[in-house]
Amino acid sequence: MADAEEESDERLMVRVREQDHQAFAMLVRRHTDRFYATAFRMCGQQEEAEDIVQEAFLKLWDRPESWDASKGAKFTTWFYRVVTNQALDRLRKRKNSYGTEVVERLVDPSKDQQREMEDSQEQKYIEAAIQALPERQKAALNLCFYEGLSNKEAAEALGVGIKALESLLMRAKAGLRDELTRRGLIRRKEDYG
Amino acid sequence: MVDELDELLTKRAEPQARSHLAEKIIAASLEGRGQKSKAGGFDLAGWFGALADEFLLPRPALAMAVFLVLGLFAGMNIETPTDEVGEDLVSYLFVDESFDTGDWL
Repeated sequence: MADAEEESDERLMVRVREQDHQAFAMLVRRHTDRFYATAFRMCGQQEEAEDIVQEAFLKLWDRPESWDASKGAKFTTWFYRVVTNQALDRLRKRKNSYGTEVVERLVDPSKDQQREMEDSQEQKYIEAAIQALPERQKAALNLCFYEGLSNKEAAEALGVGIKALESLLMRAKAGLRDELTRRGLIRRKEDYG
Repeated sequence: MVDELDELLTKRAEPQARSHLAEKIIAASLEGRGQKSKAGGFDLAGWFGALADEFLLPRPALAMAVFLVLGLFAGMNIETPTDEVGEDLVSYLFVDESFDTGDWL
C-alpha cells in the first residue's frame, strides 16, 4: 500500500490512461484539497470551486489522453492549467466574482471580538483587492504566491512566456499596493522615516 | 527585509479543505464508468434511447414558440379549399326555388 501511495502522479496517469480507476482515485485523493484551494482562490465561492475541481477531474477520467506525457510537463503543472482555465472561463461568465462568503469563513471563534473584527475587516480588504484584479493577474498571483509554483511552472500553467508572467505579477502587485494603500493597510511612501 | 505588501498578502486565509469532495468526485466518475460499460455491448433499449436523444430539442420552449408563430403566419398566408368556399359562399348556399320538385316533397 505504501508503494502505491508513493507512486508518482505521472505513473498514476499512465494507469489512468489504461482505465485504472484505482489509480484515478489515488490522484483525486492526493490532489483534491490543493486544487480546490486553487479554484477557491480564483472564484471566491465554495460551491463553484467544488464544481470546477470535480469537472476538471471528471474530464481527466473521460479523456486521460489529454495529458501528454511526451511533452514532459509535470502532472500538477498541467492540471493547474486545466483548473485555472476552467476558473477563468467561469469568471468571464460571471463578472461579479466576489461575495461575502469568504469573509464569513475567515472568522476564528477563539479570538476576542475586537481583534476578530479587525482581522476580518483586514482580510476582507485583502480578499476584495485580490478578487478585483484582472483575471490573469489574479491567476498569476495565486499560482506564484499562494500555490508556490516557480515562475516557469506558473507560466506553463497559464500558457504564457516567463516575461509575460513576470509582467502579470508586477501589475498585480502594483494594483494591490495601490488599493491596500488607499485602504490604509500599507503605509504611503512619504510616511516612512 | 520583507515587503509590507508580501507580509499583508500572507494574512489571506487558507481555504478550508472539503473533506467529502474527493469521495464525491470518485463516486461521480464511477457513475460515468457504469454508463460507459453499458454502451459496450449492443443494447436495443439504449439504441432507441440514443435515437430519441437525437431528436431532443435544446430549447423546447423557444422551439415551440417559433413553430407556433410560423404556423400562425403560414395559416394566414396559405389559401385553403375552405377559403374558396368562403369567397363563393352565396353561390354555394344558393337554392334554386324555381326548380320543380314534383309531388314527392
